[in-house]
Amino acid sequence: MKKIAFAAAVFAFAAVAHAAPATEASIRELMETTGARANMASSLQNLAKALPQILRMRAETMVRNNPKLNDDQRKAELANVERRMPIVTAALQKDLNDPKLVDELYNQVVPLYARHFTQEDVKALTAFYRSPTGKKSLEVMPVLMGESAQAAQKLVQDRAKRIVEQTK
Amino acid sequence: MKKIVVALIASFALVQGAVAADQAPAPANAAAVRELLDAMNYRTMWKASMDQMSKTMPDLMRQQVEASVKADTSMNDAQRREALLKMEAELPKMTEVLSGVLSDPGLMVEMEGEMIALYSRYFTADELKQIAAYYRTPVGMKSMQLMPQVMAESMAIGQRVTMPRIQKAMEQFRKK
Repeated sequence: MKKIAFAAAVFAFAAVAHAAPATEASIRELMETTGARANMASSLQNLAKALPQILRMRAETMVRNNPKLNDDQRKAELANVERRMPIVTAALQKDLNDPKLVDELYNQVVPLYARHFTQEDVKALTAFYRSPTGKKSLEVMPVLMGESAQAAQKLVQDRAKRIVEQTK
Repeated sequence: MKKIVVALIASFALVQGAVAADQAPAPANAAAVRELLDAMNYRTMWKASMDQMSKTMPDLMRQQVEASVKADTSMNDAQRREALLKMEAELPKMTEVLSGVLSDPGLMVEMEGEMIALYSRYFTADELKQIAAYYRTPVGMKSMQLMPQVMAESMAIGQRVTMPRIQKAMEQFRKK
């Protein structure tokens, strides 16, 4: 009986050790394998490009919808927005393309992975993404996802159009 | 109203990329893609995302119609009010029609055909089999299940980290 209890205890311990949380080093290795740094940097760059345009649109809408302004004032305010745009664009470019920002993101994503994946998981993930097929799927999947979303949109659109036209 | 709905549907396709007429994939590929879709729980995921879309649809339609009514300079305020009331009255029916489109099993089958063409264009039958095998391993399954959550948490981290910098830039915008 003692023997069995001992074996059970060892087994339980082994099970716990088995599910050890992933180490920081192994998570960083996984992230390097999946190209996380380059992905983060490119998302930040996209953000830096998109934000000035959103800001401009908002500022212009605010000026246009302001009932207190007359046409001349409106024109002057719009010119003002235009004049300030290069400043904000440059500021955003500088702040969002900062390598330190990527480091900061990286440091926060490591604990996120540690919370969800065990050491064994991380090793298996790294092994898959290092294999030729894993590597290829990393490259191809984003493109494929984009194309499949487009295809889905088109299908839904065609069907909806047909139905709306039938009910005319 | 119908005109608006047609325009609205057209606007769903932000990028109407030319979806090339695909050559029929080799049967080996078609079978391998089906196997992969199965490993990915494709049907369950498709249904869940269509359900989600059906739920957000009424608000999305309302927003778009409101925006286009507001922007229509040929209407006066009374006409705008009337157009919005009309939209509210017709919204339940339009929602029902679109929900019907989204939940149609025929749509899912058609989409599978698209996926087969798409995956065949990028992967060989061998690669497809390897990816399917990976998704059937414990870690492959786990990563697939966790992916939406991990993505959402990563997005939240991204927002938290970038927000202060964006706000700083916006303050500069206001000052100068």
